[in-house]
Amino acid sequence: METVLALKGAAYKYYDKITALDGVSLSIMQGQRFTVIGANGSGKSSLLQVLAGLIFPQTGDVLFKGVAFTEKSFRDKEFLRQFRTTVGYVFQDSDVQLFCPTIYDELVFGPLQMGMDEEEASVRAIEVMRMLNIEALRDRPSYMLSGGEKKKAAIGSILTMNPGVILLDEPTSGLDPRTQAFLVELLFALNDSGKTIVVSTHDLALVEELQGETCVLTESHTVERVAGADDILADEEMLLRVNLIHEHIHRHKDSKGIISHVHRHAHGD
Amino acid sequence: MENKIPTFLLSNNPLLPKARAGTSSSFIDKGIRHIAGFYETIFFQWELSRKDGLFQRLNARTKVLFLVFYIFVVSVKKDVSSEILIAVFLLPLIVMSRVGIFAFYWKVFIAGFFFGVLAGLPAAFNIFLPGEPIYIILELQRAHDFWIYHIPQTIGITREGILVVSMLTARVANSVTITLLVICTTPFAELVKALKAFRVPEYFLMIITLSYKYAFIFLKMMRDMHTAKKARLIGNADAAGWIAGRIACIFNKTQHRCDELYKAMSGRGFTGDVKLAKLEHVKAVDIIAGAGLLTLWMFILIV
Repeated sequence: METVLALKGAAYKYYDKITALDGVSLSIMQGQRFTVIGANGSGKSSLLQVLAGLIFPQTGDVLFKGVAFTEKSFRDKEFLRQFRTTVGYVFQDSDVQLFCPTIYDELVFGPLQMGMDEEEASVRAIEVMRMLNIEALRDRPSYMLSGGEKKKAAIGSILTMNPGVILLDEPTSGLDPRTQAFLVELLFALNDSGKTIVVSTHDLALVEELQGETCVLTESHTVERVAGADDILADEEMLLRVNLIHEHIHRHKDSKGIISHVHRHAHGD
Repeated sequence: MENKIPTFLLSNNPLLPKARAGTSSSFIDKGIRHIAGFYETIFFQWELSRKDGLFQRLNARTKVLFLVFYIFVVSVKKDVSSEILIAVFLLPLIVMSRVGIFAFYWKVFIAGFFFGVLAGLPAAFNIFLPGEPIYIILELQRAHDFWIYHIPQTIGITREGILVVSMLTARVANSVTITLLVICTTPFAELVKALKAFRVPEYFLMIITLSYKYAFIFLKMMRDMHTAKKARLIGNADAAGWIAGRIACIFNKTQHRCDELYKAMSGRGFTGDVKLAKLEHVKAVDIIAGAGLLTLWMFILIV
C-alpha cells in the first residue's frame, strides 16, 4: 500500500509558544482507517490540520504521497488542486465549516473552486444530499440546522470534492446515538470504496468500532504508540498514562456486605 | 475525591454573599430581547419566503429588477395621486404573495411615520417653506428677518407644506412596501445571488454572506453568555463593566473564528478568487411576470 500522508518529526507551536505537536512521526496508508487518540489538548486537531495542509510544522516534515510539502508548495496551482481534491478535512465545529448561504451552496463550493463545471457540481451535490438524507435542507441556511444536520452538511461539503483521504476531527462529539451510528456506517462505506479515513477522537468506543491503525498522543504532545485498535485498547497501563482511561474506587454490595475495589473507565463512559 | 472537596461544598446550608451594588442590567435584558426578536423576524421571514405565493414563485433576479424599476418610478412621480395609484397596484401583489397584510402594513406605517411624516414635518410650516397657511399656530407682532432666514408674522401649517409632507410620506411608504415585499418573499441567499446577475463582484457577495451568517452566530453567543450570567447572578451586577468585558471576549472569539474560517475555506480550495453557484435559470413564468411588471411600470410612468 502506498503511503498517502506522513509526518517525520513534526513539531508545531501556536504563536511560537504553545506546543501542540512535538516530534510526531507517523504514516497513513492509502485506503487505511486511521485513528488519532489522545486526551483533551494533546494535539489531535493540530495533527489533523497539519496533515490537511492548513497549518505547517515549524520543524520536521509533512509528506503527501512521499513528497514533503510546505506552505510554499500551495502557491503551485497544480499541487494545490491535486492536494485539495485528494485531502478533505471536516472540522470539529461545523459552524466553522459552513460559511455559504445555503446547504446546496456549501456542497457545490469546493467543486466550483476546483474549477468543476456547475452542472456537474450540482449533480454531485444532489447525490450527496440524497445519500446523507439532507435533501429537504437544500435551501436552508446552516444556522437553521440542528447539530446532527450541520455535521452531515459539513461532511457533505467535503464529499462533493470526492477526496481520497478524509480527515475528521472528533466527528461524533455532540451527536445523538442515531446520528453517531449513521456516521460510523458512512465511514465504513467510504472506506470500503477505497477512501482513507483518518479520525481524531478520545472516544474509545469509536476506536473499537473503527478497528483501524491507532496513534496515541500523550499530554506532552508526542506519539506514545502506533498500533492496531485491539492492541491499543488492550494496553490499559498506556491508556491510563495518556489519560484516556481513569481509575476510581467503586463500592458494591455482595453477599458478604459492602466491598470496595478499583475500576478503570474510559473517559466519557 | 472526597478528601479534595472544599468544606463549603459539603455544607447544605450555604452562606450567601451580600448582594453586590451596581447599576441595573435591565437595558441588557432589553437588548437581549431585541436580539431574540431579530431571530424571530429572520425565521418568520424565511418561512414566508418558502410559501406558495405569487412573488415567491418568481426568480430573484426578476424581483430585484422589479424593485429597482419601481423605486425609480416612485421617485420620479411628482403628485400624490400617482403614489396612491402605485400603492393600490401593490396591494393585490401583497395579497397574492400571502404576506400577513396587517403585520406588513404596520411596518410600512412605522417607516412612513418616522421617515415621512416626522422627517418632513418641519416643511409643513411656513417658517421653512413659504406658502399659504391653512392652520394658524402663532401670530407674531411682526415678521422677522435675519441672515437668509425669514420668519413670517403668521406662523402656521401651509397647503404647500402638507403636499410636500404627503408626497414624502407616500414615497417612503411605497418604497418601503416594495422593498419589504421583495425581502419577505425572497430568501437572503437568493437575493445575494441575484446581485451576482447584476455584476456585483463575487468576493463582495461572499463578504455579505459571511457577515450575515456570523452576525447570527455571534448574536447567539451573546444571548447564551447573558443567559449563563443570569443563571449565576443574584441581584444586580456592574452591567457596564460586564458588557465591556463581553465585547472584548467576543472580539477575541471573532478573531479566532476568522482564522478557523480561513482554514475551512482554504481546505476546500479557496485561493482568494471566489466562485459562487449561480441562481436557477430564468423560466418562462419569470419572463412573463417580468414583462407584465415592466408594462405596468411603463403605464404608471406615462400616466
